[in-house]
Amino acid sequence: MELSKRRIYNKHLEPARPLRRLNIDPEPRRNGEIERVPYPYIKEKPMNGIGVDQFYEIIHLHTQKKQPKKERICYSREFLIKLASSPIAKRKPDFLPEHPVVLEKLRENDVSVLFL
Amino acid sequence: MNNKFDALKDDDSGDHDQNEDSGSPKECEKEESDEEDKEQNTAKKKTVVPGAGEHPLQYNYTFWYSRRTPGRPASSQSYEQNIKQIGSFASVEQFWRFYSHMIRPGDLTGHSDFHLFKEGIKPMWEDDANKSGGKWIIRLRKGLASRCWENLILAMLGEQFMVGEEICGAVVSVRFQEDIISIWNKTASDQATTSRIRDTLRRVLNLPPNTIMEYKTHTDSIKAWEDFHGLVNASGGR
Repeated sequence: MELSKRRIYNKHLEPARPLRRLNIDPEPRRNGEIERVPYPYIKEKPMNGIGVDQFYEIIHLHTQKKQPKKERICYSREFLIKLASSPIAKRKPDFLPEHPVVLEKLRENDVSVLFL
Repeated sequence: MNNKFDALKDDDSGDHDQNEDSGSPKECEKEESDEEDKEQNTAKKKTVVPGAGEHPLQYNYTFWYSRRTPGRPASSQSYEQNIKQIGSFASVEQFWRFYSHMIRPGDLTGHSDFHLFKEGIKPMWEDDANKSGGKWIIRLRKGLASRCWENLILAMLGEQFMVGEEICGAVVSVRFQEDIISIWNKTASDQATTSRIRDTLRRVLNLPPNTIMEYKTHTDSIKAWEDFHGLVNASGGR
């Protein structure tokens, strides 16, 4: 596995054209090869595909793809809850309407206790 | 126009209990809602941004609260007047500042709802973001609302649903014998999205095993509301 991966990788360092031929090449050979040594061949075939795909993906990542694809800002429940106990998170908001569901004072006990 | 918003008043997940009449002081309510309009307008003009050193959220969100006012459901008081903005936030810390200064849903009384929606999306069926959408509904026995609501909104704020821009907001509805939580998404017909939301809900809510989850399109909700209130003809072609 390791060895064959390295071999393919080295070939990828050559210009793109030979690579493409390498990909087309296995097709006609497939039937004969499968009959003789099915397992190793099947194992290697996806490696070829991934190698080429990855190669292009890497090139794309380093060129135009980087800008439009933004990372989502994700937080786990545990992390969010941890932040509830930071001092900024406990200050009363500057603009809070007067309303029966709005509290004058921080509801401290259950924010920190309930979640754990 | 009024009819449109009236139709929204009794949203909530097909829960159409409406026998809560108790002769209401109409005039007072009217004044109060005018006040609310003013406050809502000023609140809209401010754009919230994360403070220095705070943890930004993927989207800004707005807390809303609504309560069924005593009186006939189809009264002139529109749903839009009845729903009140509590505030908007852009960071995790700002969320907690609001959340810890509000009553928890499990401690609410009467027919009332908390809504947490992306800033710019009104918690109404007719909003552009909602009009082709729907919601997952989970009915809860009394006593579970606060915890489930918190798990739900933390998953939403933390972007745990992984459905791109699809999530619009979440609602907790306190009712007489049960509470209902729901999460709204943009495209009711997008099955990949709705099933992913369902699976995430199952994972994050820690629900009792026999809990029933139901998906309802807003179109169906509107129709059910109209059928119930006999407004199909009265509202002029809806």
